[in-house]
Amino acid sequence: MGKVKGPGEDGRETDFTAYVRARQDGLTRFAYLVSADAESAKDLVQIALTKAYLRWDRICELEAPDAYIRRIIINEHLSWWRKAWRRREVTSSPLVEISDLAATDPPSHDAELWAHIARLPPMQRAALVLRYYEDLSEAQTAEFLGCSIGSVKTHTSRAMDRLRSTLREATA
Amino acid sequence: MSPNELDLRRTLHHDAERIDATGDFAVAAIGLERRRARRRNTMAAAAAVTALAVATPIAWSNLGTDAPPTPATSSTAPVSPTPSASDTGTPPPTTEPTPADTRKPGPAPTADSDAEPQVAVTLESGPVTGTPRVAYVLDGVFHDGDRRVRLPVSTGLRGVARLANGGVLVHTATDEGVSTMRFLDASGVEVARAAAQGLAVNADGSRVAATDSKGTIRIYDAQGDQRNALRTGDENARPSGQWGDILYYVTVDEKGRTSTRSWDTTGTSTAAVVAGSFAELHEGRSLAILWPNQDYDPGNTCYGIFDLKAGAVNHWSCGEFAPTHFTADGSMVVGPNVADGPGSSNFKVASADDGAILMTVAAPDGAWSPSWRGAGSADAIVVVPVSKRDTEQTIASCSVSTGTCSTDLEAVSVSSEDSAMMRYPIMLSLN
Repeated sequence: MGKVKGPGEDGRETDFTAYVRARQDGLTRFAYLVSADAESAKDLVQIALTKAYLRWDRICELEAPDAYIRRIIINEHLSWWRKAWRRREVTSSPLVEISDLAATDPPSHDAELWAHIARLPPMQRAALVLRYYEDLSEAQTAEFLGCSIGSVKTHTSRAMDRLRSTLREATA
Repeated sequence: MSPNELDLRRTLHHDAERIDATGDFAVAAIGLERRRARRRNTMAAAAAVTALAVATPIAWSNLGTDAPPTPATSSTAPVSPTPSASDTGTPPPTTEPTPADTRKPGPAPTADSDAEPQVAVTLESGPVTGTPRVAYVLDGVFHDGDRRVRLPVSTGLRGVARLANGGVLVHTATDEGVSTMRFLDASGVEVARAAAQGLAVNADGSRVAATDSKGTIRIYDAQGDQRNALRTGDENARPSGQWGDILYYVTVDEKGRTSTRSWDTTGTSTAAVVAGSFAELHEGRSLAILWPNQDYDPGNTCYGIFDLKAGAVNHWSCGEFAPTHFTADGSMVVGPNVADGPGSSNFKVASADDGAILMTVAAPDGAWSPSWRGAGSADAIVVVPVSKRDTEQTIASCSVSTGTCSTDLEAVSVSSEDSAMMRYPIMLSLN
């Protein structure tokens, strides 16, 4: 019933470890932007990598394993189920560290804009991150989010409208 | 100030650089999977021992073969309460409990791995032997006993529920996040539609509470006719559940802390009930599963069983278990085991009276077990495991009294893409 360690297991583990060590910074940053929360980012990356490890034999043959794992991160973050569960999770070892720019840098336009991005609805923020951080096309973003190109346009434009409006209110 | 695309790119890159992966995620992921594998093996072995002890060939076979299973609305269904002042004795409390009221964890029952039956749920252990004890959707068709209703939606399904008039409530959300509920009659024809960012359906399907995007809660009957409405002033307000004429709803403050309030839906009066949110109510036993805010016991997973009549927590339990549902008779609660970390496929059943863990169930060859529910007979749990490495899904029932599980539905395939997106063909009814 349980998984039997086969002859290729050690190689699989080594391969997976090498991949993760090379990519974990990027995945964590992506998860952080999507979730706007360092703890959530850690959980999301853990979930995604644990799931990826289970299927590593198949995933490592993909042209872009990153895309697969990022899709899990997005999907997990948008899942109502996980949101309900998120609060219950027991966090363990510190896997991520976030620097407090506010402590070292003077208040900046970036910090203010990020604060507003962080308060966007998850789907709108995800669309912005995919379009402007990952530099994906609208079609690629649509594929990532499992929605139509029209929906990506809607999410993006609503997010921009909301940011403009909240920033205007904040500076009024 | 108006951000442009350049601002966005710069801000996102700048903020992303604040975060560094300082630990080794590979070790964490491999370690987590190994722990799960050990647990699955242990549980599979324990299940085999249990099976031998009760002289059944396998721990997952015969529940429901002697007598036809009863639907969730059988005699085990709760009696609808009428929590008026005369019969409850104590109306819902009108003030927010003080921290002293809510911060007394009391004894924390923990899992006793020797005494606790452990059951391994696997699709490979036997043929289909039972019948689903809860209504469900499979590939766009609502199944309720022998009844079938084709749903008028093909995408964006978020939830379904039985209505008291024989109809079906369908909750959907578009890609843009617009949530809608449709009231269907018994033949599947839509008779009413309304916004529903969040919704709660009572046990017999006679009352539906839904919030719109501005935080107004509306109460509907089974035909979809609005009965009353309340402006909460909080766009994040969500209905938690109903107890007679009382609707409980949760509000969220700026720091993300939740508070539960009550609304007497015969009028407009509301009252603060308790800090935290209700995961589910059991009308017959007048109980609710209370999830406290994170500051209740940071780093620990706790829940309380809240007595709706007394307006107080009966007991707190802290440990590795986070219940989400009651069993049909309200004597037990069921939910995920969180000690395995995120995405665990194990779930546990505990006593609603004292929090003692009664059973642990796992889907050994699946990474995820996305839903479970108390339904059917008093001590049965319905679970929808995803198995064979997330490529198959089924419905199963596990009985605490016998410590066994049965397969209630022939396994259906899950495509790789749907699995990656966690879009599963089976969805359990909310009631």
